[in-house]
Amino acid sequence: MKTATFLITLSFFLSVSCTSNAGLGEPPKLFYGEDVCDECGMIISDRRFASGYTTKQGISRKFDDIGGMSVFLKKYPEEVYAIWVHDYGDQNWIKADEAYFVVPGNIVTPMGHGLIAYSDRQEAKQTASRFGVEVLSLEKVLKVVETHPLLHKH
Amino acid sequence: MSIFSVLVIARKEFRDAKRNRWLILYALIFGALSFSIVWLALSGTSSYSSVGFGRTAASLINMVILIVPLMGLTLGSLSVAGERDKKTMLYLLAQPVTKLEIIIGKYLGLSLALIVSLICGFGVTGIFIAVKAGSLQPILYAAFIFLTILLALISLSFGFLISVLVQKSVTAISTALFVWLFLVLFTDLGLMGTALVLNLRVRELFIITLSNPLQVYKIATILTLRGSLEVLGPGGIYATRTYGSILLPGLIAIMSASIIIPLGICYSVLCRKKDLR
Amino acid sequence: MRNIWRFIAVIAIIIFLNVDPSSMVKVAAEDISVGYIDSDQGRFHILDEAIQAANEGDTLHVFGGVHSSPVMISKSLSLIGHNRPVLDGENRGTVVKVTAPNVLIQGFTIANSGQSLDEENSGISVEASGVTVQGNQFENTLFGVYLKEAPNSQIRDNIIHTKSLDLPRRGDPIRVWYSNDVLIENNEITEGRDVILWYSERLIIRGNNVSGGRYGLHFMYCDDTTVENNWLVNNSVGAFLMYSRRLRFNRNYVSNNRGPSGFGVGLKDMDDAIIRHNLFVDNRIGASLDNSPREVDSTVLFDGNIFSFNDIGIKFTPSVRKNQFTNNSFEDNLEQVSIAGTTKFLDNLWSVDGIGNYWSDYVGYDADYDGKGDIPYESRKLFEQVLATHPNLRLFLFSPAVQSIDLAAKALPTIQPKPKLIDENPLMNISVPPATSIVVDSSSRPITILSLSLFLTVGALVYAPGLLTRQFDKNPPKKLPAEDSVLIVSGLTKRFDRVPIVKDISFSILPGEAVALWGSNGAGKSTLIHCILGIIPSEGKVNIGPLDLGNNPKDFRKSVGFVPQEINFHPDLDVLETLDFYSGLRRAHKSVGEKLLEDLDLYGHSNKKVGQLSGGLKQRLALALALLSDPPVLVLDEPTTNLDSNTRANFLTYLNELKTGGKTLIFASHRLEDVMHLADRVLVVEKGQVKKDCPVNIFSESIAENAI
Repeated sequence: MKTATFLITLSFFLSVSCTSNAGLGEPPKLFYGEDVCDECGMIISDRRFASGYTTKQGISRKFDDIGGMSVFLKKYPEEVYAIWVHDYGDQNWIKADEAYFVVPGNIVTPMGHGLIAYSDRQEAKQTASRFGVEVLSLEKVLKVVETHPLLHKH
Repeated sequence: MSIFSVLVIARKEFRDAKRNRWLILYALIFGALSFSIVWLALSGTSSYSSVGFGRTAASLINMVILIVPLMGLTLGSLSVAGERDKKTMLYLLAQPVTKLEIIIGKYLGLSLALIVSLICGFGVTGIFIAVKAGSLQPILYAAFIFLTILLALISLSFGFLISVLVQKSVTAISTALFVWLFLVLFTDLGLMGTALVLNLRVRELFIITLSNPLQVYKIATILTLRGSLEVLGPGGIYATRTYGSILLPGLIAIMSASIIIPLGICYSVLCRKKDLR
Repeated sequence: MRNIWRFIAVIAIIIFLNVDPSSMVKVAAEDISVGYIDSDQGRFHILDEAIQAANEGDTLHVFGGVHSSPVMISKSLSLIGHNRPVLDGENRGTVVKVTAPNVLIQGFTIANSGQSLDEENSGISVEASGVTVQGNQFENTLFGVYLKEAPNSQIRDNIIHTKSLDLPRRGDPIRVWYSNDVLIENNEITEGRDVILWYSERLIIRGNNVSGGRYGLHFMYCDDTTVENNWLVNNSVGAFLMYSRRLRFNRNYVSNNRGPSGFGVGLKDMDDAIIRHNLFVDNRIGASLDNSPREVDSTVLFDGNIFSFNDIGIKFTPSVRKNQFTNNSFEDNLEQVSIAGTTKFLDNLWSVDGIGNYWSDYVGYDADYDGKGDIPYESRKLFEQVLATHPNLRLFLFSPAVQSIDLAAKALPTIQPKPKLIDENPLMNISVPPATSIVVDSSSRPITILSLSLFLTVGALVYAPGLLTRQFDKNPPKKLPAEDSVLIVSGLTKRFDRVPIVKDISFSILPGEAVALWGSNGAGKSTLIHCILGIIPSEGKVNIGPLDLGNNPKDFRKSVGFVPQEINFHPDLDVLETLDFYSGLRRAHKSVGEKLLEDLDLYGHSNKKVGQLSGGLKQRLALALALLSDPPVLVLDEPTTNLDSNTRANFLTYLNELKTGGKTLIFASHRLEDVMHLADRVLVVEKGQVKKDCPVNIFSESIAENAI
């Protein structure tokens, strides 16, 4: 009996120690169609606009729209470890502080902010010049975005 | 092992159980409680009462978790210890039967008695639901009954283990009551406390929760009745996501193991050293 | 066999056809042949030509047929279908494109659009004002009706069933984009993605049935919209309402919206919304409030709604304030009201103009019969408040431990949390909203059948053991011939807690011999007997002829009849039942038992409970049971201790008869006369050892010597 109890406790602590501290440097794990945006409560289903970040405490937040993430960060400032967005082209996770953002104006993102990100500066510039807008940095994005989306454009 | 001997003992045990005041009392309490839960739920708002079975099921699960383990544990704990007290075990052991046959026969007989009393309770309740024209998918109700029977068998098997490990029936029944309290209350309270103090992640929390067979029953039942575990919050969502379609079979496997393992320990204890007189 | 394969093949084909996402809607051949169009310009057979020829304001009557797309309508025409003509997009592009105002499309089946989400392939796409889409059926289109800058349009009485794809690849059954004053009425929408209403004001959405989708309704920037009498059932979210002002959401039935999100309604940044007389039943969260109202001087009013059986009645995000709740009923939600991440409510009103809400967990009273509770309703469950900050613990919901926490909190005011909310004027009764008669169709027949079958099962179970035992009772056991029945005990040792009670005893007994174990109380006689029978495990070997106790305990014990010292059969069984039970274990036929009862003069007592038998009768019964399998060896432990002298004599006589009949007897005794009467040989047991092994006459001599 004693050995059994010991084994159970041991395996428990092993499983605990194996899992802690994992994933701080990785993008949040997203289950499309199941996970819900932390800002608007909607289901995250479009990779191209999905974003997220991890805090220094190891909490990860997930968003369906890059603009939604900016709004959330403005409302609830947190100690962010790393911010992640998706490349609009190949739809892979990229670090937001190395990304280039564009608001082309014709793309409808889930919350209507219209923000997309590129890992490649050239690509971002091309898109931006095609629509006559400028390429934004993460800093700018976080500063500019309104408290709620405003894509009223006729 | 001879099936015949097992059946003879099972039949005798079943006959004894029919006269067992404990079992009759439990069966009545169980029937009355499930009946009144459904009655309360179905007579609440007449206009759309039938949609509320989810809520009824919640109360039923709650009641089952309290009553059924108590039934199984006490009946099981009295099984061997009681015969020992009455000194009938001595004579039984002098017969051409093995200890394994005695244990299995007794277990079968008692589980049959438990199943019959549970089914009676559920049957009365089911007829009442039908009379009140509540909508309830029979397959779900049947699954609920099945899982509850598994729970009863688990607690019976734990009760047997107590019965074999302990000498007197007074000790056995008090141990059974303690184990019941432990499973029903202290394990969960302890787990919750641990989760708060250690700030457990969902995964660890879910896995250690499975150490309590009552929780396994609860999760399996909700999963069956609801089709998902989202009502259990992040832990539930984690479980369905991670284990997907093997979750329910897995839970049932854990429950089956919780029936077989204590019985196995019972048997090995009996074989190694234990004097059953 | 071949039939089975054929059957399987047919099933496989059916499954395959059902799975194929691009499967076409099948059209009967005769419909194709009869298609024609009557317009003010004459009769046509090709829809495109009829449209080309038509003038502004013409009406085209389309009679049956399948008409290929795309159908481009750039004039203000009315297209009226008769006999359900089909407009077939053949899985390419959009089926009908309307670019002229005031077009009417009525009575068609619109089928098979392409499935490009980027191109927004639709059943009907409208880019002009005042268009009416009415009474059509949409089959296998990606989007259903797409209004893009199409104000004053109407979508009515349509049945919309979009392409059944995975949710991310599905289209929206209705999308309204920058189109004010649109009416959406009495449509039936199943398994689309979202009904999307963006940037459109003064919409009226009435009497629709939206089920099986992701967001039943999804609003963004739709001020002054009315949503009433809709059924929003079985979606991920019934209605997601965002960034709009002055919404009126009335008399809707919002039920069973679960899955991810799982809101009945979700309100985000909604100002001055009025939510009135709705039913929110069995959703994960009845209503979710996020940052609503948003503006400083606005409110959101919940009036006369019923929240029943939801996992959470209403969920607030932390900063939500200025909501007003009056006349609502919160009935048996697992958690009536919850706030995420905190336990503090800001200034929301739970009672307006002295009218609060009904709470099914209210425990107050109404002494003055004004329909309002006399003490405030306070929601202060400790566990709920723990959940607010530790949602993981929701895993323990329904555990009795959870209730114990709440009970403890009630009993000990020191750990009782501050109330989450206080309703000063709780209502005593549910106020059922007007004009919401919800009929949930249910048949009680299946559950009746189930319940009845449960009782049948019980019956079967009760009789099963009896039936089964009869089934298995077919092979009678082998019997050991009496002449082989030499009992050999060698090296028998038994220790209790390392103290030997029986020490290395060896002896053998010939068939037909009667051996007495002689010794004082505590000499180890009983233990020795229990070891010989294998009742308690011991070291050493015991054999009867070829049968070894260790290897074959069952057959061994079948060859030994045992009469214990103290007879403890189950006292509540009667004699016959007892006999029956042990006959089963010893594999004896019923007639054997009956004969034994007769032989032992027990027949007259067969219906007595064993507990009520006298000592002598009990002993005789014990002997009867021991003899059931007709064993060659009988083991008796102090058989005559509890008997009076008369019965003892009878009993001994009977045993003697058995001995003469060839049975081997071994019995423990401390009565000299028994030994003299019965034994051929005596083993004197002292302190767990055989001190002397001698014939009975020598034994009696030594006793006599000792006495002298």
